[in-house]
Amino acid sequence: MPISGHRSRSALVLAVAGTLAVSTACSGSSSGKKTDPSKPAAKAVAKQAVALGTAADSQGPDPAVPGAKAGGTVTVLQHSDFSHLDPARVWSSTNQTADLLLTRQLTSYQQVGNTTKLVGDLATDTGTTTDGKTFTYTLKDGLKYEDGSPITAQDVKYGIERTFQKELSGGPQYLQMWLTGKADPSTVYSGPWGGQDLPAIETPDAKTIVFHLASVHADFPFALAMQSYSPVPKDKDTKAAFDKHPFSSGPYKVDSHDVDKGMVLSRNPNWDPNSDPVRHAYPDQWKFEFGAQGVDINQRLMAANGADKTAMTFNVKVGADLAGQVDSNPDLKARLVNQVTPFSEFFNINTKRVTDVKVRQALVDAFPRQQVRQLFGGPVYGDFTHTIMSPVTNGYQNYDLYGVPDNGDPDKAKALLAQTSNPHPTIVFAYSDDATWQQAAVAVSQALGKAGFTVVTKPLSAKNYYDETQKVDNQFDVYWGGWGPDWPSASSVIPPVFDGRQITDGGGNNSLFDDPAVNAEIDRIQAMTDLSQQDTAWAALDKQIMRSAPIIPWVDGRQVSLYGPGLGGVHTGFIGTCYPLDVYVK
Amino acid sequence: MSRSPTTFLKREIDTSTPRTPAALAWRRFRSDRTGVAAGVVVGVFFVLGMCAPLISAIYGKDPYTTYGQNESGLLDDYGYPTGALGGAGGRFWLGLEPGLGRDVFTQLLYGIRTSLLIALVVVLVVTVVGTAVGLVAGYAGGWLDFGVSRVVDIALSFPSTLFIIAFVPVVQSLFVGADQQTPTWMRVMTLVVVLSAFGWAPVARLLRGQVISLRTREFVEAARIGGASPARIVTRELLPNLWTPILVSASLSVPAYVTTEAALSFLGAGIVEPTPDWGRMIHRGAEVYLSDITYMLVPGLAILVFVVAFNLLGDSVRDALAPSDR
Repeated sequence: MPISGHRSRSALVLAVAGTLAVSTACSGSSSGKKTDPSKPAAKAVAKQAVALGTAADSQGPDPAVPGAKAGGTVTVLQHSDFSHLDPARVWSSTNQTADLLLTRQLTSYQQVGNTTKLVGDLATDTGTTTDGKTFTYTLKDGLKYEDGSPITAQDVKYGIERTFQKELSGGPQYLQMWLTGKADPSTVYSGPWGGQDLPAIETPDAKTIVFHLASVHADFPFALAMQSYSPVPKDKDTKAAFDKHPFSSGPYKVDSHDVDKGMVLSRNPNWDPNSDPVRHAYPDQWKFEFGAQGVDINQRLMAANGADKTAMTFNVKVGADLAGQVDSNPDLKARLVNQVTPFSEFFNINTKRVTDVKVRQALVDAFPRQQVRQLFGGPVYGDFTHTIMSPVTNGYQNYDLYGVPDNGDPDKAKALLAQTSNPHPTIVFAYSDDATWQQAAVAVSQALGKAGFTVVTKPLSAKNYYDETQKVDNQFDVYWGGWGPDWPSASSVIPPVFDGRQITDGGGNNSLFDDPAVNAEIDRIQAMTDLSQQDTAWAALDKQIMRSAPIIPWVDGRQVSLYGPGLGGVHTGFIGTCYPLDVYVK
Repeated sequence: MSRSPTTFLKREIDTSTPRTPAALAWRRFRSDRTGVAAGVVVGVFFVLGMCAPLISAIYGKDPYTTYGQNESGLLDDYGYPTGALGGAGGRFWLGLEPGLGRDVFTQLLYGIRTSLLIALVVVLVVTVVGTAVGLVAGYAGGWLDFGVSRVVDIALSFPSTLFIIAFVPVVQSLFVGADQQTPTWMRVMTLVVVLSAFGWAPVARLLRGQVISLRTREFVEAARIGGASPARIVTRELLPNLWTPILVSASLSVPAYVTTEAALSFLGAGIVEPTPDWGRMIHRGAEVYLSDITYMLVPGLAILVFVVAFNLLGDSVRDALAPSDR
């Protein structure tokens, strides 16, 4: 999903839009130059960040967290209320994290130690298919909602049909597009509230569900794991009210929800841990408090007084202002989550305006990646990257096409510019007009200036930043962007960010990169039915795109968050936020 | 302040030569120790601002170079100055700015220039315009006075800060293409224009009141009967009697505009990077104070001292020019 909302140091606000993607930057330098020999050579074998689990892996319960025990109350401090809880409307990482506690899906991710697998959750396995277009799932026995009624295949179908309903906006569109074969699924089906049924999903009995996709999508089982595709029983669909108080299929249910103030979740007694391979439910109760500023939340977590001893946050980050203090205090350091998330940040180069690939490559060479990262908090902000795909994506291969130091190489850029018609091109750097970005503009301007660029810095109001930079006819040359994959495959990264046919206002391709060879390769890879072949091919395409330098890769974001000393099992999850399902009260 | 009326009188009686009103005012001012001290402080700020490039050349640093980013070891991993007091010491007297690692001392010096220049130009404009409008309205009376007074009412009741925050980006985008740099002079000009657009009104109202109280006085009546033109009456009879309120209002306005300019830059509608500015320094200081309190204290104390000194100076000037107004 696109990262919407600039990340402020206090909270990563993800917006609704899209899928995650990352970018890679590109590269090439002068022809024939090898990548820096001091860097490790990319491995030839694609790494599997998240494998498909077997039917045996899909049986519950989730392997116990060592030392965990049940009981207690966890307080969650959040900057603002969850914008949506209705699964059909949930796409941002924060909302998804809340729905981990309240919903189950056909498939889900099982995290044990450092291993993550996709397993059957409501379903007995990750699905069977022969042609990559028809997928069949069987539900487990004894699955129940919060009131004890059974979860049926028809409810799963109804939950997915609801995502077509245009009133329930904000959710992802993958299944809707794949089932209908249309870029605008509403032209085929407009949701179940009008009494219509979606023929592409069949439910021959209460335990079997068959999906008929319009084209091959080998990663369908991953897309199904999105919280948006959760079961909803038709007679419990309260429509708009569902958003505030969803009917739970997960380990907890909503006791009370005072919008923008607080929410209390208690155990769902009808949830059976033996049927659930991906969730623990150690605490008896979750109490959410909304409305504090990030800095206040961090101060409370540091002090850990009273009930804050067992407090945590899903997404509030420790920024540069507190990082040094936390780093030098062993007590605080011991209760810190500090892990790389799937979210990547990069700088788009407007390939419609900067058409000379040498100029784009010179931008990559000269860009002050380290200086800018330092303004955002340095190492706590993220890890430098040179690729489009992030390390938590299946098939990720590390490479560094350009081999320049993190603080840029103005001499190399200058040499490249000397080969072009204009060694002093003017570059418009657009940024969101806040204090940190204003300073970043100074660093960018100085560093690019040293390489011979003439830099125009253009502040955009924070509110309009996305609208302005996501316009196809924008008049800027370099601007920040971010992407997070919706599942650990480059198919939710490279097509939305680099497919030239997907260039639209407000879309994900903000470098406006349109290369027919890349477009054709995207089609070829997406038609593959073998996921590991796909992964290898995506990694090769990643490198191919970076040779054209449509983006300057910057960082893979980090989630650095404090939690109370009374909690255990706090770490980040596949969504990138602090993961609630392994948390226990000591 | 503390002088007693008797000693004061005695001194005046002791003098053998007659004194002009200006000389008397100067004498009163000199005997006001607080005023003199405030004047010296204000003078030092002016000199520092004027001589910023010279001082910066002698000191060997400038406010634009990002020392902390160019040289390793000056800032830590998180972008904060290494060493106590925000990196202050023999090399960087007031330390380094967190993040970019620029020199705080030269930023402060150049920041005075920005703030004072804008404040002085605005004060000059509003004083000239406000005086002219107040004189004309007060002397002419009738429908002209009525019309001008309503315009003044509107200008005074307008939510000027909100207007400026909304207006500045819009007007700048009108004149500057989407892919062009907004020139610094245009930002300064915009600020001067919008601040002046609201600032003339209080001056005009003040002067109008003074003129109304003067215009029925005998010397004005006499001039009118003697056939003097309205222009001559305004410039030769009224204006000389208005210097005191004009000077007092101008001297009290300077610190007010310095803080207004800083506030607008704090709010993002004023001067932008990389031009050094006090308001923006304070804004940045408020973001980093948890890890680097020095960076907030330095510009904060500087603006506090300057504004207090200038206000005390303004009080003393008023006391000296018109002791009866106290």
